[in-house]
Amino acid sequence: MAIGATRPPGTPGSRPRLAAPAGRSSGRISRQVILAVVVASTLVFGLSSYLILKGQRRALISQVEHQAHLVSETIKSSTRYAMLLNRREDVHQIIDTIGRQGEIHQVRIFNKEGQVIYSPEKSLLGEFVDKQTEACYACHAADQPLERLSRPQRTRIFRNTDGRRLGIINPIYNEPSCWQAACHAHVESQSVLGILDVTLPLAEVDRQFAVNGRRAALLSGAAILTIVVILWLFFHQRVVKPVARLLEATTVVAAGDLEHQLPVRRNDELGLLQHSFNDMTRRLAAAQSQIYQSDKLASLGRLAAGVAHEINNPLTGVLVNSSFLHRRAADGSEEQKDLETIVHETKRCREIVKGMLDFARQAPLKRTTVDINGVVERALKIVDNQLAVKNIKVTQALRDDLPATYADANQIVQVLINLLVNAADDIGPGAGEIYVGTELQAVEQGQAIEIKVADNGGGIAEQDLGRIFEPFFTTKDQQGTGLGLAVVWGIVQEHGGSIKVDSRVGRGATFTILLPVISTPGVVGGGDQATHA
Amino acid sequence: MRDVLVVEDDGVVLAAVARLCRSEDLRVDEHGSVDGALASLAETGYRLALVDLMLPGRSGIELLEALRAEHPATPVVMISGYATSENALRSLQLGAFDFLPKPFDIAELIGVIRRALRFAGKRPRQGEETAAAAAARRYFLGRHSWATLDADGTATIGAAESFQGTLGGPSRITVGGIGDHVTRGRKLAQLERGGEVHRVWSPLSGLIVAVNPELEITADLLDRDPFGSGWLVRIVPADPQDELSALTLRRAEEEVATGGG
Repeated sequence: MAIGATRPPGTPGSRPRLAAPAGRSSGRISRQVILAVVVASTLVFGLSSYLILKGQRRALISQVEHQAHLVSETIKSSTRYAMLLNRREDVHQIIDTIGRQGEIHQVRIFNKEGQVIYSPEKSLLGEFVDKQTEACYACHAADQPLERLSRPQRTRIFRNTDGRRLGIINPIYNEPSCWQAACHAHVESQSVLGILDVTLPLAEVDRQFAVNGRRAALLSGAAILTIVVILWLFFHQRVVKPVARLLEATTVVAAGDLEHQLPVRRNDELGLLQHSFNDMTRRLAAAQSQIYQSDKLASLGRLAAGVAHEINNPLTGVLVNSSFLHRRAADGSEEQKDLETIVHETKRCREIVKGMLDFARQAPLKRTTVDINGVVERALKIVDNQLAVKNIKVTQALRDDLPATYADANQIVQVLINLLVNAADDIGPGAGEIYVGTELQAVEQGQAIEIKVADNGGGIAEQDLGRIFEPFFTTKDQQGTGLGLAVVWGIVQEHGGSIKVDSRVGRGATFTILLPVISTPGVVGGGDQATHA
Repeated sequence: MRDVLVVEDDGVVLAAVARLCRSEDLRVDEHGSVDGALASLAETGYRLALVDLMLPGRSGIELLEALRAEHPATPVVMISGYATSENALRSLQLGAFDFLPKPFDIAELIGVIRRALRFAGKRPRQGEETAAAAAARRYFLGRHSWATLDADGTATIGAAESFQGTLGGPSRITVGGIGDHVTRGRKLAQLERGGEVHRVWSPLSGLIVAVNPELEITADLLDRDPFGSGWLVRIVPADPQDELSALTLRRAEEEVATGGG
């Protein structure tokens, strides 16, 4: 895999392309939420205002209805006496007086044929009303005798050119006193003698209703606006801004900056999201550096193999010829010295190429069930003399209930020897201490065995920390091959483990290896199984 | 019978090797390919063949196999610029006298040439092995080195008949120290004597746990008794089962029979 392919595209052009729709979409969400709230609150406020206003209107109308009824009854009772005496002038007089009051629109009495017999407006007298309209249908349409009608049935609301009216009819029933009256105007068989119709204007009610409606609309509007503003502010502060920061962070990370971290100050869902974003970025960075490293190692391997073959032929020519000439040159001559240098330097080239090849062809793992503590002890035994000579004290802290794991014991020994020798070199000529410990750690995939190798030597400079696992990186000048830690890294990787280093100049270094605990060979799905078949 | 057959496709290397052989008073036939070499072999035999592993067209391995079949007495030294342990193992297991990785210097080249010529010239000697050594089950990397698996799980490693009586006398031995890792097909020991350098390629991988202390005291021990007191190191083998199966198990009488070639 090419290194470039493992990295997210970091071209400058990709950032605005990503950022633009991101910015729009966060605005769109807040707009969508606000729109939903506006629609919902409009519906709620609208419906409740409608119901309240409807109730109010009903109450107002029923008040007018009551008033009309009162007027109607008043007229009926005031004219009763005049009617009994058949004094029509008096009836006219009373109706005129009452009907001229401002709050009353119209007072009419018509007989059962629909002919107006009393009215303050003399022009209407003798006219017939249309039985299909007005209130007549209450009895006539139902084709029922004019008996007792309930008040709502007697009431009607209609619209004239100059506004709405409420009319109430009041049938004047035949009574014994009527047919027994001296005038004998009515016969006993008649049930209804006439209809008193009183009409009141609804202008005041309608005005009041309009005022209330406007007030309700205004209040609802203000409430909705307040909610929207508060919601928008809240949303902007608590959602849009952090989401925008998150989006910006994703573009930054996408552009290749895996160091980017978001400040997490909340513990709500967005806080969790930020936290997991940071976590993801950290893991991504770790994974990328591992991929980058193994990629680098793989390409180095290919390069080494190619270079080795190409360079070995010319090196052979140089080495054979120069050593041949060196052997034939006069002892102690200038030429012999020069040729010795050529031979020596060519041999150095040979060692470098050999190192590259050695590194490139790390042996495949031969896993068996391994007790890591045993492996650690084996490694310590091997370097025991070397450490004792250097006056280095070794402290062991091996956890005694470590589970066995499926690993290549020899390669793990190699890892430990490299780390121990490295630690010893770091300690230098003076006395020092090395700590070796094993622990059991819980990791995501189960359990891992932790192996720690710490020393109190010179430590590693900060700028070198990132490079110490690179092949051919050495701080030991001519002494080291620069492959020790790269080999360590490669072996730990092959085992599916990880290695990290903590160090400060003058404070020594601590290498921590995590090897996954693999209890059965079946769990390892690698080609390294083939050799055991 | 000619002296040396050199098959190498790189002109500079071919010329350098041929020049060195001539300086040793050896008559050299130079070839750049297997086909040319086979044409010469059809006419005459050689005391020694130096063959590059990677050649254009047919590989050096094919020539090695042809030489082992047609001219078993001719020691064949395989040269390779792609000096992997696999190539070394394969060559030695196929019967190559030795494996010479590029780039080599004059001491390494002269060493292997002289030792091969001594080997080709020596007569098989009977009863060279001690009784104790013969009893052990011995695994061989060609005629080059051997290993025995000991009761305690360690393995003893030594040089085989291509070093026996061919070093020309006492030599200085450099072996890795205790705790060093050896890899099969890689250098285990280096022998130096009078401008000659010889290398022993390890038949097994593992960690060195003991080095034969006698070797330093008696300089010609390896030359005299490589199968017995001249053993080199004891190791904890990394993967004995697998690696031993790649070697050749031989009994004492077979060793002697194949010893002289």
